This record gives sequence, structure tokens and C-alpha cells, in this order.
Amino acid sequence: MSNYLEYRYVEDGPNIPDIPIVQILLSVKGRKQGIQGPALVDTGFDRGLYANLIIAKHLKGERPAAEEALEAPGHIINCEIFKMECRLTDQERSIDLGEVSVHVPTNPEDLTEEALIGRTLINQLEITLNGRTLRARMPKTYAT
Amino acid sequence: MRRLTVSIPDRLAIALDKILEEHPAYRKKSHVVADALEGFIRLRYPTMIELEEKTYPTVLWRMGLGRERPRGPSLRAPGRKAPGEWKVVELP
Repeated sequence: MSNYLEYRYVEDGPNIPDIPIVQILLSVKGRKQGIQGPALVDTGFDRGLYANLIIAKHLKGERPAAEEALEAPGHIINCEIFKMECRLTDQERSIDLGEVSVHVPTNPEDLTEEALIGRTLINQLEITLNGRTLRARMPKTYAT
Repeated sequence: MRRLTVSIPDRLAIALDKILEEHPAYRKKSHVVADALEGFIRLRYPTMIELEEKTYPTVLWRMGLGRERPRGPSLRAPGRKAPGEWKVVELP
């Protein structure tokens, strides 16, 4: 059996190219609940995970570990960095990515509806994209 | 909450109307004026304002204080939908 996790691209009509996503499970250490949902695979994002509103809400009450200003076209996005446990999941398996840095913008105008997974995490994985399906696995380490 | 009656130059009144038109999350002129005044006092006279306890992440605190809604900086075609739902799950 393949040890790849597989995700169908998200389709959004004829005018928008299908979107490569992975399903991630995020949690704060010590909590009994986590949140699970899709993250866009964004090879242009230099960091690990860019939060959406749901993730920001789940982090309510946590203290940021650090701050960082990211550069976006035309402006600077000030972010607070939180630590969360992250797993890639599909129907059957999951890959533990351990503790990851989650960038949460401090300005509401910079908060997206979608979470982005960037190269800090992507580069840990073996990923193939064929325009329809994204396959991911941890190199040399079998999914648990 | 207190009510103020102030006079402002026409150009500021016009700008205020434009801000309300372009930012529907500001439902009243009072909200814009209160945000502007709070920013001014925090910047120029930070010791004169009683700070409320801040909630983290800061973005939630700002959304609670202000009337802005998330839009996001992603480069995207108009009308693109979010790629699926997020849900809360119990951890094993």
C-alpha cells in the first residue's frame, strides 16, 4: 500500500484553476480539542503556516512566541507567531509535522478566509502535483 | 458611553462620508470618529487613556474594538470561494 496521503484539488468553476490543498489538524499543546481543515499549498510563502480567521479564533488567549513583519506586494503584514502542533491528515492516515510556527496577521485586513501552508513545511515533505491530485509523504519516514 | 457634539471642517466631513461608503463595516460616523480619536490618543498621549486588557491574537482584539472585517491579501480571481470547511475535532 502506498504511504502517500492523497488530496483531490478543490474545484471552483471554469474560470479558476483547481486548487491544491492538504488537510491539516492543528492543536495547541495541552488542549483537548483541535481544528481540522484545508490549507492551500503556497510555494511562494516563505514560512510555515499563515492563519485564517478560524485558526486565529482557536488561538484566542494564547500568547505569541514572537513577532515578524512579512512583505506582501505593496505593504508590510505584521504578524504574531504562535506555536501549534500540526498533522497532515487524509481519510486513513496522518503525518506528524510536530510543532509549527503559525503566522497570524495583527491587522484584520490581512486575515484571509483560507489558511496557507508555506515552504517551511512543504520542504519537509515529498509532494507531487499532477493538476488533479496532490500526493504527500514524509521522506524516509513512514506515515503513522 | 458619552455623547459629544463637535464641529469639523467640511473636508473632514466629506472624508468621513467617503469612509462610511467604502467601509460598510463602519456602521456609524461615531465608530469612525471613535477609532480615529483612539488612535490619536494612543499615539500622542498614551498615558492619558485607560487601556483595556488586550486579547491575543491581536487581530481578534482589533476586530472586537473596530469595525473591520477580514478581507485578506491573497492574489485571487474575483469570486473564488474558500476551499472547504474547518471543524473542531476532539483529540485522541
